[in-house]
Amino acid sequence: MHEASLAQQIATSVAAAIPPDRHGDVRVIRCLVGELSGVQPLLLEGAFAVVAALTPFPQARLACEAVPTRVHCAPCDGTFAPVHSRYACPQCGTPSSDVVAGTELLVSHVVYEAPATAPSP
Amino acid sequence: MPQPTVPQPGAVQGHDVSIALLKANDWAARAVREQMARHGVLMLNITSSAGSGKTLLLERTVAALKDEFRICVLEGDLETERDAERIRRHGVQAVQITTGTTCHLEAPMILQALERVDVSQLDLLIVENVGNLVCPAGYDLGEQSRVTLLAVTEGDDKPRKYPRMFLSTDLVVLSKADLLPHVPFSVDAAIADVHAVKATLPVQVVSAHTGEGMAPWLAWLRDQRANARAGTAAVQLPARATSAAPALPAVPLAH
Ligand SMILES: Nc1nc2c(ncn2[C@@H]2O[C@H](COP(=O)(O)OP(=O)(O)OP(=O)(O)O)[C@@H](O)[C@H]2O)c(=O)[nH]1
Ligand SMILES: [Mg+2]
Ligand SMILES: [Zn+2]
Repeated sequence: MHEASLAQQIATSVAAAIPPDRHGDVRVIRCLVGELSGVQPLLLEGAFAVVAALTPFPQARLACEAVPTRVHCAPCDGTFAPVHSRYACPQCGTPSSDVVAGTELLVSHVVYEAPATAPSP
Repeated sequence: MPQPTVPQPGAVQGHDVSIALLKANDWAARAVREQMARHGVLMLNITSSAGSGKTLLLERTVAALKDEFRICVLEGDLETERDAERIRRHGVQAVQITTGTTCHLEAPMILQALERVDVSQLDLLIVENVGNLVCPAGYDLGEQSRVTLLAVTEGDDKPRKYPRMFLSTDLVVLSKADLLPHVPFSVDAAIADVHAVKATLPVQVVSAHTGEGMAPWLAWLRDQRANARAGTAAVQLPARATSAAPALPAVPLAH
C-alpha cells in the first residue's frame, strides 16, 4: 500500500549508511521483506525502479527477498509456519502467536561495482 | 578493520548492512510511550477497515466517559476534519491528523500532534487510525493497547485474511451488532477465526448505534486505564525522587 514512500525511505537510509564517494557505484540493494510486513516485494521493486533516477544511485536496482513467517512453539521448543493463517503448532496443536520471523522490513546488503578506473595506489 | 584489497575495475563487491526501515517510527513510538507512562495516560490505537464504525464508537465512548476521565482524541484521516469535529461536538478535545496520501498513521505524526496537547492533564488518549486493515498493523504508535473493529457487515472470514492486524491487537470489537439480523455473519465463526490467529484475544460484540455491549467495552477501558496508572506508580516513584529537571511550560489546549 505504501511501497512508494518505502522506496524513498530505502534510498534515504542507504545514502546515509554508505560513503558518499561510493553512491554512484551502487548496483544492487537487497531487502528482506517479511510475509507479514504488509509490503509486496514486487511492488516495492517496481516503486524503487521508478524513483531510482532521483536517488544518488540511479544505476541501482532493488532486489527483495521474501521472508516466510515462523512462529515459536514453546512446548516443542521449535518453530512452525502457519498454514492459511492458523497460528497453532502442527506438531502438538498448541496455539501460539509468538512470531519470530516474517515481520521484518530491512536493507540487508549493498552490491557495488568498483570504479572503471582503479584508484591510484 | 582489515584493509580492503583494491578491487579490479568493474569488479563487484558486496557489503552486508542491516538498516531497519521502520527505525525512525520505532524511535518515535518509544518517545510517545515514555511520555504516556510518565503521566499515567492510557493510550489506545483504534484500527479497522474504512467505515467499520470507529468514530461512532468513540463518540459514544467519550460521551459516556467525559465526566470520569480527561480525554483527548487524535483523528487520523487522509483528508478533512470531519471525524475530529464529530468528537468536539461532545465537548472533548480532538486533534485531526491529515495524512494526505499515507494509508496509515506513523509515530512521528503522533509526536507532532502531541505538541498541541497537554499530556499531563490527560487520563485517556485515543488515536483513531486511518481506515485500513493492512498498513496500520506494521506501525507501532506508542500505544498501550490496540483495539481492532470488525463490522458485522464486513464478513466473518476477515481475521485470517488480515493476520498481522489481528496478531498485533489486544481487543477485537465486532461492531454494528444491531445489523446481525440483516447480514450473513456468524459471531461464532468470527470468534473462531480470530482465535485461529491469536487464541488469547478477547472479543466483544458491540452496537454503538443501540448501545448493546457498550457496558463491557467501557469496563475493559476502565481496566486498561487502571493498569496504565498502576504502571506509572511502579516505574515512576524512584524516577520522581531523583528528578531535578524543570517541568515543561504548560501548553494551552488547542481546542
Ligand atoms: N447500524 C449501525 N451503523 C453504524 C454503527 N456504527 C457506525 N455505523 C455507521 O457506519 C458508518 C461509518 O461509521 P464511522 O463511525 O464513520 O466509521 P469509521 O470507522 O470511523 O470510518 P472511517 O474513519 O472513514 O474509516 C456511519 O454511517 C455510521 O453511522 C452501528 O453500531 N450500527
Ligand atoms: Mg472515522
Ligand atoms: Zn508444538
